[in-house]
Amino acid sequence: MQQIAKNAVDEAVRLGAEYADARVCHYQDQRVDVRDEIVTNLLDREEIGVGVRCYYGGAWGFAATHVLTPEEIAATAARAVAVARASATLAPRLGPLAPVYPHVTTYVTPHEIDPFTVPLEEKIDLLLSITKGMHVGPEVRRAIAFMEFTREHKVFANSVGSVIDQTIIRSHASCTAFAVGQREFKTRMFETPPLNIGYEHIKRQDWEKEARRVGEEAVGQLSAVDVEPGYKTLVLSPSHLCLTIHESVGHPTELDRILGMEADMAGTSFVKPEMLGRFQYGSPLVNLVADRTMPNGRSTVGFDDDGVPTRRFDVVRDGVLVGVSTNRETAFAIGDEDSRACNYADGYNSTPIVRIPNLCLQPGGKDAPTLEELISDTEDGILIDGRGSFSIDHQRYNFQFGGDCFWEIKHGKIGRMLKNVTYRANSTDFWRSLDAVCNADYWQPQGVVNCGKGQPGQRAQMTHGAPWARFRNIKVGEAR
Amino acid sequence: MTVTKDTKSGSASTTDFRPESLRELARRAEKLAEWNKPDPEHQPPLGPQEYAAIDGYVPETAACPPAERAKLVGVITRYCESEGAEAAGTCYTGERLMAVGDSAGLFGYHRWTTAGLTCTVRTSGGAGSSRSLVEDVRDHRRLDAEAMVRRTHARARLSEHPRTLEAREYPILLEPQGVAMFMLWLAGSLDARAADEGRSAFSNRAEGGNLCGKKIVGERVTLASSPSHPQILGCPFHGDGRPVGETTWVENGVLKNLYYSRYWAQKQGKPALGPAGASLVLSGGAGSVDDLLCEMKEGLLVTTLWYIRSVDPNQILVTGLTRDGVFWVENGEIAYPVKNFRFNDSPLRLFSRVEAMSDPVPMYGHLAPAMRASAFGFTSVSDAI
Repeated sequence: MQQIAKNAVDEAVRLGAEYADARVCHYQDQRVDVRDEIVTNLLDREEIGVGVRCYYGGAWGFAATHVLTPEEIAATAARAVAVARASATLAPRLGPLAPVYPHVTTYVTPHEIDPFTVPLEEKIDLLLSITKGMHVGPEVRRAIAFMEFTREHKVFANSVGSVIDQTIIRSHASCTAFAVGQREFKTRMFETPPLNIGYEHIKRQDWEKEARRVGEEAVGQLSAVDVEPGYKTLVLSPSHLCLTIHESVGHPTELDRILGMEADMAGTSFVKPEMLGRFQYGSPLVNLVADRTMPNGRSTVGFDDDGVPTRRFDVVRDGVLVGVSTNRETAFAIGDEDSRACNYADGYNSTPIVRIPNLCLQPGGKDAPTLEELISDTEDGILIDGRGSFSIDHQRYNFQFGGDCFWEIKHGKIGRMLKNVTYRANSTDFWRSLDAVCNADYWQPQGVVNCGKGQPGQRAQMTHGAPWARFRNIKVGEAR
Repeated sequence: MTVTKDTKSGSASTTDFRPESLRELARRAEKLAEWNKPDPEHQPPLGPQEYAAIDGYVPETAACPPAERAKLVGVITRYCESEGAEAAGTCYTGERLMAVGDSAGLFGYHRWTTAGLTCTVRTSGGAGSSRSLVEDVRDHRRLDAEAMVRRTHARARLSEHPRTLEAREYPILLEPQGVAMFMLWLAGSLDARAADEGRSAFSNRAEGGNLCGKKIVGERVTLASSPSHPQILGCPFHGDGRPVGETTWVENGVLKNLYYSRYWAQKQGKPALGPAGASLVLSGGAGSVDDLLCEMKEGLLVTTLWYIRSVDPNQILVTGLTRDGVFWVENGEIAYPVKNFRFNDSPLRLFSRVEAMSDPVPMYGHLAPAMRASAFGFTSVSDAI
């Protein structure tokens, strides 16, 4: 793989590229789906190819192939150069690329059990026991569960002399129950926090308990009370907040969006470079840290797809916007000398772009409340767990979120189950309304596995850890 | 490749097409099948099928070089530069092929070309913004960059300095992109098994089963799959080898057909059909968007709907936002731009309130019209431009 990458780079440089890099990627995915008592999908996917990227005359060119013969690799490098030359005829010259330095190294996701060594029988039997466990009554008419594992082996080489060999291991499992009533149906879901980790992650879950709870809560929603619209206090779980963080902080702080480079599809951002260091994004309790080095984070790697070492940086500190996600191409726009290593391509045949890194809301200190204290301190509110509907405008002002399950909080106690709960806010109004975060014992590394961006569309995955947190005076119940 | 033994199946895939790799692929799939458990819903191999002959391959588009794409993009960027506006977008050309086969004699092969041009224009300081798109057409020579950028820039200018209108229900003239989005949400819900099992907006809660034969939307609405339509030229078969037939899903507002998997069709004694999302045509109208505009007394002209997600699948309630220009219309003319809105509404409601539609136009590999409806549910205002 190293030689293929080096050959591609050498050929692109020989044809005139001012800079070139190549990623030779070997992806192995295993997925097992079950429905009730049936295994509905047993899939072993394997994909290998090389993507060649080159820089010429102020523009990028990119080409890829899955045919790894010397002739085809040379032809692919030539196509990448041709695309760069064509782009250079009309693209405004990009600003100076942030530097990249030579690295010859390897990185492997820390893991205890390689998920590809675990017998399929064990996975199938566990999944079938989970779907069986969700069938808690006749109202549960369907129960589904899946496991998905990925090994991504990627060798990156570039024209400054880097050869970076990385292996990423991902493990993920989820289950959902469908309950059908007289007037409607409802669903409830549980998933392992999506992490870069081995099969030990699956083994650590108490699946019997979770499956039963999911089944019972799906049934419970059939008799839940319709939420009364109005301005409410919200207590949000980590498995819910991960998506709120993603949409209302992660995307607005991608520098390529801010600069208009994604204006045609994903959109732009209300954030402007001049806001850095002075814009009050949230209440003083809001501290959001980006970190692609965090142990087992879903976007944790040693180096990004620019060949730049990953790092940790603050995005919001004490409520103030202080950082944005960058790559080599965009870092100059905020006066940074170095990229913050957020470049990522979801396949050998995708060109890397700025993606949200692991981005986590920090817990409060030792004096911060427990979840029990937070609830007992809430007179009238709604507890939201899990992800549901989500939608936000193309500059990331107006969002509306649902959830997976909802409860009323009255006089400091969790009460009836509610349904049809959605809330809508402006991103920064929402974060400014945060008035409590729980302590570190109530922090969980939840995340997102299907973030879409780019043209053609690409998928990215990242961790958004958060503690339970409380938000005041949020508009609820507009969706009817 | 899927291998089945005694109703136990395993699937494997590869991008390495060398003979030894394909043999290894078969071994991997076979091994998975051995590990699997019997599937009581397993269906035997499909066997030979008849497919419509659809010629969607344009050699000139397959061979289109980067420089030709750059030329189209250059028309857009130079125009915007001369007007002091910013442009963003994509131009793509390419060819695709799909082949299917099975051990009972099924074989299908189809190749087609694809081309598209999208263009977002943002006027000085981000004061106005609009977008136009042509997606997934077979012949790149249909991409008219000059006309696209002029129209998009004019609408972006027209969208500057929007007024704030209260969020509530308004009469709406929705352009084809937005109608296509709602059409796809409707089509994505046309699953017979989900309906029969009570997990769908098309479940018949009163009598059991599904709502086939019942009126579900306004009688002006007819929705069909038509892969041979000359403005679509879609793929004649699904990924599992079944033909994409000429199928009417909704006729004059009545639900005529639902998607039946082979298993569910056998169990329910129905023909296997669909899925419903291929080569769709929403018909029932005539004329152009401008014709619909001229006849509009008052209401909102909406260019694009964006970030649409499910809120309640029991009623196909979805939320999303407007984008790329919203305008208040009075007496058949655009009066002034207004700020974007969030909506919460359903294709079942929107399509029940249809007053008029235009001729359908190509959109994302389907055909969708512009639509004028008596009401659409806007629930909040967005500051996004």
